[in-house]
Amino acid sequence: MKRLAIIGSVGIPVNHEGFETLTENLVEQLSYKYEITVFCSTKDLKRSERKSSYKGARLKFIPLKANGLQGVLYYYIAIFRALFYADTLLILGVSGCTMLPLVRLFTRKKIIVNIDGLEWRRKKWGRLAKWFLRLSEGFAIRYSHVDVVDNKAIQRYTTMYYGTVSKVIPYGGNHKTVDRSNEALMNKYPFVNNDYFIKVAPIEPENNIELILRTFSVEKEQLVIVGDWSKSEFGKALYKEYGSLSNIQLLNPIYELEEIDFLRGNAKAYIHGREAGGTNPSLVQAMCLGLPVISFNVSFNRETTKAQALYFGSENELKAIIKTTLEKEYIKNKKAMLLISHKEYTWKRIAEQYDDLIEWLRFEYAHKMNVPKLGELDRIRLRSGDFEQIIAKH
Amino acid sequence: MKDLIFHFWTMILTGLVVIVSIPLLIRFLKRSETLDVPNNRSVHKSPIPSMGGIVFFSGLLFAIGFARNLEVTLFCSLIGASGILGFVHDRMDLSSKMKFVFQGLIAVCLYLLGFSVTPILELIVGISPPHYLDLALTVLFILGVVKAVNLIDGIDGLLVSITFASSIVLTIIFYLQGQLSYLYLSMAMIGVSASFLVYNFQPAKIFMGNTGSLLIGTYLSVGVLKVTEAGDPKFSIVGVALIIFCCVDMVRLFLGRYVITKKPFKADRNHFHYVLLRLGWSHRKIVALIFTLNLTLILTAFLLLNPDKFLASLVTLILCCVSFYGLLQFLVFRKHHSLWRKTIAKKNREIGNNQLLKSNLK
Repeated sequence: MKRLAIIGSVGIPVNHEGFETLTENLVEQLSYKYEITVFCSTKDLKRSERKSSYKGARLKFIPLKANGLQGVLYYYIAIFRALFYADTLLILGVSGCTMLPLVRLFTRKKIIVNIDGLEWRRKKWGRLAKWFLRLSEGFAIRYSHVDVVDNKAIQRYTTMYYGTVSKVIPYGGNHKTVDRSNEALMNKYPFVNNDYFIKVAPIEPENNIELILRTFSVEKEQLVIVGDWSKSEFGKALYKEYGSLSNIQLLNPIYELEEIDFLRGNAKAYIHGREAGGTNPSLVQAMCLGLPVISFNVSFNRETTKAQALYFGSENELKAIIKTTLEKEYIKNKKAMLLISHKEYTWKRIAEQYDDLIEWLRFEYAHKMNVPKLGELDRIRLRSGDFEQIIAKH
Repeated sequence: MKDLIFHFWTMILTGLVVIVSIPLLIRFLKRSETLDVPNNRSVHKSPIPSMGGIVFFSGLLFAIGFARNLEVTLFCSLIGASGILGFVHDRMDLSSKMKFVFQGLIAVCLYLLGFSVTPILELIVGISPPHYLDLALTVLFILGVVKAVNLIDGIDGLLVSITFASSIVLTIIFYLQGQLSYLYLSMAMIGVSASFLVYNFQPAKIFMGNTGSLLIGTYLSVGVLKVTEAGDPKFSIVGVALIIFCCVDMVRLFLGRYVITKKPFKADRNHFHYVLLRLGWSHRKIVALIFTLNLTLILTAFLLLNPDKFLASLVTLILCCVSFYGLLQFLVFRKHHSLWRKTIAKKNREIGNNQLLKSNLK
């Protein structure tokens, strides 16, 4: 059996969306075929939650956080340890990819990197962090055998900037029917009896939380936002300003899948405000649950929803959508989202794509396709942030 | 002979330690899943514990402990470094370039320790090369022998039996040359290889992996350089006879690959032992044959050849190896010819039956 190491998630099983869900689903789908080892963080998993194996995969623990500054060292240690017994390394995220040149120089291990969604563009990072993440992204793309992106817009970026074609494997979601008549939850959340809009996201500037809250503070439609409000000063300030409004429910993080899906499943529409990154797991999950989607108008979101959602770029546009969209448009949107999710975002299909990739790497002819890079001026513009225009132009 | 008591103790103790520790090692390797999983070029059909070459380190340690000689310690350490490189390659699957670079560094260190191909060159062409050429040729020689030995490790018990025979010859030569410190190493290697052969002979319970083959390759290459160091043609030709078979097989293999595919380093299954395997020979028969051929070369070098004419003796040895390949090709031809004849006979029978049927129908 071929041996696969998955590096970069906090660990499994956890209730986080993101790489953890991807890891869990890959383990579930592929453990019959590969000897999988998953690296986990002891800092993010309590002792009682730590297991030695899960659904056929071995779990190895590293006493460092998987994110932030400690995350870089976490990746280095995980990659080094994986070299001793894995044939293929699947690295999720780019933090530790500065080590890849040494791995390629010394060993013949196959490396697949999922570069996530342009982490360096996020507003929360300072200059040094952004520089390091850009450097890591470059190393990840240049020194991996295959780099995976979850969105065609990011593929266009990597093709133009780095001159190699990335593989697009989107993110998955859990398709299920939500029990809308759960009495206990209905009592806990009485607002579900009325129409409401929902957003589930980290409380960060690039999620346009403030824009959405300002819109709903004027429009008086019911809004529910689930996120960690106490994690940052930004979140605390927003909670203080908007938490007391009668039509806005600001809920703390909900880790019970059944509960969060209940809230999502009963909503009138899902508002997705994220303007950075690739295919967002929350958005995909909303599509899988059959929710109409109102999304921030960026290339990633248009690509994820195949340009069939409702889009806003400003407060006024969001107001217009909320006021003027008819019920039949919501129904049409809902059906479109469900169809797209069934076609593109099932975990079985995603695991098959990763499996095909690992099998393909066995062959000697397996290498990245090189294409001409962008001209220098456009590369500078791409770097400085005229991202949408350059992507749209090409 | 009284001087050799400690040497014999080295051999016996090493053998005992290895024979006792291998079953424990097999259990440990199975539990840690350090197994050689068969691929499309493998001979074995089920996963076998690999990296058994770790036990050869015991031979080095005993030699260092008993010899208590700085030169032997450094010599054994560098051989051990080769073994460690093989161990790392087994665990981390090093790239060929990196393996080549590290082996080259070890070879350079061995040159600095005083091992050189100059005595052999003086015997062949009568001149001493300049230092830079001497270094390059020595490194090439060591790398070549290590690669040749690595290639021959493909059948249960083959490399270990060659190591056993070579160690006996090296022991005799070191004794006759009075190199009693080096005698510890060769006798320790006799003990290790004899014990390892018990578990490595078909059906093998453990493989030595690159850990063992790189270690043995380095040991044999510098062993040969050591016996040729004094410049005595008789010992030199016997020393060369130890490794000539592996080296000629390697050259034949690389040339063949280059002619057919233009890729001399691309792995295939055209080694001497694999060809015999394809002809239906068992592992034991192949080991016995190659062991006999090696022994024939050593005895030819020792008894029949004129050491004063070193170049002619070397050419004779090479021609002997070539004649072995002639024998191999004859065996292949005979197998294919008999297969061809059987096929033709079968076809003729079918044609005959058809004609009979047609005439009956008429």
